Amino acid sequence: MISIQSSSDIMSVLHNIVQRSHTSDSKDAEEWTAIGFRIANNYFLAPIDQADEVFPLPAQITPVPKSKPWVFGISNLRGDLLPLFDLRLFLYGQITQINNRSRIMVIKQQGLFSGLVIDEVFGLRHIDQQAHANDDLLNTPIAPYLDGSIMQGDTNWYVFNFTSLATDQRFLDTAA
Amino acid sequence: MNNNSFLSILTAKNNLPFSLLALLFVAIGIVGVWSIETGFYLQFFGFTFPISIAISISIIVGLGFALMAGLNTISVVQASFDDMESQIRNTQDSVLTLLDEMGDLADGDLTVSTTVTEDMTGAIADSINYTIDALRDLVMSINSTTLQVSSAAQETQSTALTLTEASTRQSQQIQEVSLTITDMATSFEQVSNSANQSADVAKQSVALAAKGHNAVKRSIDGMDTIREQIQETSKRLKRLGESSQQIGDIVELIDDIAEQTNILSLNAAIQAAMAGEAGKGFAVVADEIQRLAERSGNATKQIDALVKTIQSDTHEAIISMEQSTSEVVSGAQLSQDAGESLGQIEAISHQLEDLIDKISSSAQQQAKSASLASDNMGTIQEITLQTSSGTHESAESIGHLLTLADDLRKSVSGFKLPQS
Repeated sequence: MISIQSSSDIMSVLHNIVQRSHTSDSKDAEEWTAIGFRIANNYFLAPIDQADEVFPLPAQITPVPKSKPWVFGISNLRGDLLPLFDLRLFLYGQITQINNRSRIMVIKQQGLFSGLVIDEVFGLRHIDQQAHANDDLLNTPIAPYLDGSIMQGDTNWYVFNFTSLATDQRFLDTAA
Repeated sequence: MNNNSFLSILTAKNNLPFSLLALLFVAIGIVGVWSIETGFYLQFFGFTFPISIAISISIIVGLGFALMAGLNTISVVQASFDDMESQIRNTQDSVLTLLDEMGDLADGDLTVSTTVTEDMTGAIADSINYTIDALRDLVMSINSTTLQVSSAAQETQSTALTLTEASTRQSQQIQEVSLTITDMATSFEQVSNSANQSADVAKQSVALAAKGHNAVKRSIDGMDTIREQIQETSKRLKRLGESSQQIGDIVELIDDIAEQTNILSLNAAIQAAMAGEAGKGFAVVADEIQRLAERSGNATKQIDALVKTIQSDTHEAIISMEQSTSEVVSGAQLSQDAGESLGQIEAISHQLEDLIDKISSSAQQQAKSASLASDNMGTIQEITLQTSSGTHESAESIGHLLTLADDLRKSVSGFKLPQS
């Protein structure tokens, strides 16, 4: 990473970005882009094409009566009704503590348009390896929604599959 | 003998007629003589012969009667003489008996007693008995008195001897006491000297306390200065903390902006990904913007951590300065207390000095008194020696008295007393 010491450094960085944007075709086909996020103490990666939008928690969230506990509420996203789900509560049985790091990640999968409450979103992560299945994952309750894990640096990332979540009947069955 | 008087003999019953008759006839004769002589007779008669014979006869008759009366009287006198003689003999006998009884008395035998009879010696014997009794009592009383005197004298002698001994001991003790008093006088001198030295020490301690007092004052002033400086520094640190708080606020704003940029670039990347091949170039830009936002977010986090560290350090520095201030205050208080204590020490040292002076003068007076007492002891010693010799003389006198009492007892030892 180039360290930014002065305004000329910024210019060179921007120039570098422009050059790389033109030469993106020559990139390694193996590399894929994901969004890194955290739920509880676990780090997750989601392929960028599975996410639709990320935004901070809206000021107004309307609770949904007679629903499962993980149904966080309904909010208005630019005129569209967006149901919100507490992913932490659904996966781990722990209610998410809302703070300024909390985010809503919007997914559109299999006709399901919904927002998931996430503890923290780190941003884009460029991964140059494929997820490999870990035997340990099969023993956890979240195993059905994972494609495997990737070790990058000191961090072990679980690759989350929103499609699996969107097709899970338990998740879809929100009526209490 | 009065009973046997001549006249009474004459007038006794049996003699009275003879006496009267003799007197009558004598009287007749005398009358005849008288009548012749006076011539009365001659007037009547011319001759005298018959009358002369009558006169002679009457006188002879008178004489005869007188003789008869005289014979009676003589026999009475004779009887009286006989009586007297027997009486004298009786008296002589009783006197001899008395002398016989009194024979041992001459040898000092006071056990004798004379027989009291009806005789003339009875009264004498009685008197002698009385005298013997008195003498016996006297000798007994002399004996008992000499015994008492003797025992009393012995007691007194032993007392006097004890007294002499005691006087000797007293003399020795007085000598010892005298020595002790001399020692005491020396000790008092030493006490006086020590007290003088102590007074010097007390003076030094007064001076030192005063010095200490000054030093404490200076240290209190220094502590006041330190406290003011600490307070000033504390104020500056507080301002520094406030400034770092402002920095923190600004950093928070930057972090907020970076976070929003992050979200925006993320959404842009998502949009670009949706656009497929057409969005690839934009995806790169969005990706780079995202990275920059992430980096600035990380940088603000570091700044935030630094600011927090600065703030906590400042806070701790302020706390430690407050502690320092309070310690300085308590130190100043302690110094104040120390100063007061030193002041008290100064005052007490002053008092001590005065007291020690008094002790010194008292000790000197006592030394003088002790030497006076030593002199007095010398006088007492002399008096004791006099007393000793006096009691010795008394003992000797009493010995003499004992001898005298012995002599007295020996002088009456010749007398024999009844066993009692």
